[in-house]
Amino acid sequence: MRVVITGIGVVSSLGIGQHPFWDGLMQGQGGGRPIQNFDASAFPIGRAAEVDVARITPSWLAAHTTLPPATFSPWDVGDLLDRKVSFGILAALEAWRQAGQPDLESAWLSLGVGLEYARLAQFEALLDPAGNIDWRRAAPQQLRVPADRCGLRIAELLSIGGPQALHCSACASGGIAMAHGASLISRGRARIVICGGTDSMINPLGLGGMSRLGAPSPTVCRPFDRRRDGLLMGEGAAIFVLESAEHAQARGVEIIAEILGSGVTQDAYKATAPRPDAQCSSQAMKHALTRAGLAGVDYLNAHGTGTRLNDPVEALAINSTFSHPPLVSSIKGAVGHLMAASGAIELAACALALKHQQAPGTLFLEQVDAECALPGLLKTPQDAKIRTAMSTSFGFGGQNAAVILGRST
Amino acid sequence: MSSLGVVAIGVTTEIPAPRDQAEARARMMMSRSALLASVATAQCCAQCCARSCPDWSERHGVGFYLGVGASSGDTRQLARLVSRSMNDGALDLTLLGTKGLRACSPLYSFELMNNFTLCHPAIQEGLTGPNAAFLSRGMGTALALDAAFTSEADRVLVGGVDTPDHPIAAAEARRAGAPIGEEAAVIFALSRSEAALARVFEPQFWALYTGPAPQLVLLAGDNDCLEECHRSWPEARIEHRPARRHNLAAGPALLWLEAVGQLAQYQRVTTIFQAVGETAFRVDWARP
Repeated sequence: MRVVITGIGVVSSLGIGQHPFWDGLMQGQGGGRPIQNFDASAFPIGRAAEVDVARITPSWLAAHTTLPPATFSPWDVGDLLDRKVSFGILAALEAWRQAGQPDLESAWLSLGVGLEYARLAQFEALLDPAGNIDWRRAAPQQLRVPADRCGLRIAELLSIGGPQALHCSACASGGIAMAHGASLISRGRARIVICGGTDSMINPLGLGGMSRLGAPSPTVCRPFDRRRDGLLMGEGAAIFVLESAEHAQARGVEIIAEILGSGVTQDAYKATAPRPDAQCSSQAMKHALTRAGLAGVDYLNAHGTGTRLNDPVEALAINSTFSHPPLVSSIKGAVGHLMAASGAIELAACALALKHQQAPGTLFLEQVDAECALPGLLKTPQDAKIRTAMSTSFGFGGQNAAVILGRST
Repeated sequence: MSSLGVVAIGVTTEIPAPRDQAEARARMMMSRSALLASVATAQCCAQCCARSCPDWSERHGVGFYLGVGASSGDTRQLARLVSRSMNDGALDLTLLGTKGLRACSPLYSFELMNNFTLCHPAIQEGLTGPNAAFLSRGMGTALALDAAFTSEADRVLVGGVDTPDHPIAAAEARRAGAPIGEEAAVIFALSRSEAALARVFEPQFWALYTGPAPQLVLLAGDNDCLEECHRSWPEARIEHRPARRHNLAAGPALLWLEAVGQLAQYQRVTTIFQAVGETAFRVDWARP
């Protein structure tokens, strides 16, 4: 059974919606800005690819969803504090509306989500007079916003009646969620799946933890560049409506793209580093190609985080997979690393590349590192004949995902 | 309805001492859930080999699907971070960005990522196949089992791992009025071609009460579920397990473990699981 995409919704630092996202990529915009949603002035890193809203409120959500503010009145304050909940809602609504607002009573949800949000301010009440945390005081407090609030709020808003699969596979979550959603349809388990990813780690604990790892760049993110020195933290969401081709045709809706194949593997190497021989990451790409019945793709949207470790390993994986090198770019210099949503937003870039017959560039790439030499690597956006596009995601812990989209026929 | 063979089961409700220095070092980066998962997965894989199942000595390509809970990272580090960030009884972001962050290990983030509950045992056992970690309050663990049926891998490990032994998790369970479950990791080794202990059928998310009447039903569900079971299967023995309805990822897997144990007496056992606030799902088990 063919699996097709009939709706796409995107939220990113380039704007709310798929159009500002794509237009921004094509115009070479992005690259992060000083963080505004909390005071990060004392943090090691103070820039991120933040969605342009300092504080999410019911009226802000109402304005961007064109739903009445009362829709969001039942929301717990935690749902508003955890930005990924709102981003998921916005993206899901856009996708659903583009798909013609199908009935989702028997639809499934397959969503990549980030970590639960820690409400650090609530911990203040747990301190005993000596300044130590006394956990016995925790009973009446809600100390974190569970990660499944994203799924609950999306399902509630769109009346999704089927099971909710919430994928927590770090940076590979979005890609794995898309692969899972496609398999549910191709094997007849579901007729429609709302699928994608949403995440925001641009909060004190998220930014602090990543800074402590030394992961973010102190300047800009330069994927595959010899001067690369880390990633750009990003936030946002990309959500899709997936259904069988027959179901979409019966509904008379436009098919945007088709999911041709996917591959998921595990490095099983080290917790803190990718497998240096790229065997398993390459295997994920090869599995996707085999299942799609393809020898190669025209465009590959790389994981391309801009870290010292990731980029050369990924270049090795790509060069060892493709005998005919595809066009390659990474959008993480522009929109940042969306963590659990990165695979999803990068698949949105692939779908829009297929639609517009253009490939995004790699913002801030100037001097390609010899270790990252890729014949088709693009610095700037360009027109291109694109019939097939692959997105790759390589998560912390070694989870690898590759998903291939094909042009709607 | 398609089925998979159950080759072995690994289960642990406690963490043994490390076997050597290398294991002790590896554990330093693990959350409690990751530790539990690693112990149970090692047990399960060892059982597969002990049963002289030739395919299981080579684990390249074995699939791995887990229902995992919220992160269970070391709260002492979190406590230090907060304590060092306090100024006059209030959280101070300037202090957090400087002293607070330095109170944590640089690798603390890896403990907080709940996918590491899957990644650490995968690294330990060399499981390179298709994989996914499902955030679970019960349903995620069922979806992990469901994923096994659609996996490209012929051999998969599936289970649920979670712990309430985490002050945040315990506090939130009390706040929600949900029963506090037990810490556990339960891992099933499943195969398309072998069945040593049992056969397991595809999870059912709708039409739970139709089909052939089971002999035994193990139910972790609300009173509506209980009534529906009695109405649909008046001849079946129905054993209610309300304490299993806690919102931890290991809950369904513990019910499934009990089902396999009952196959000595019953040809076929049906499990219906419904965590608090979730929809119910059904999994059937039969003798090999």
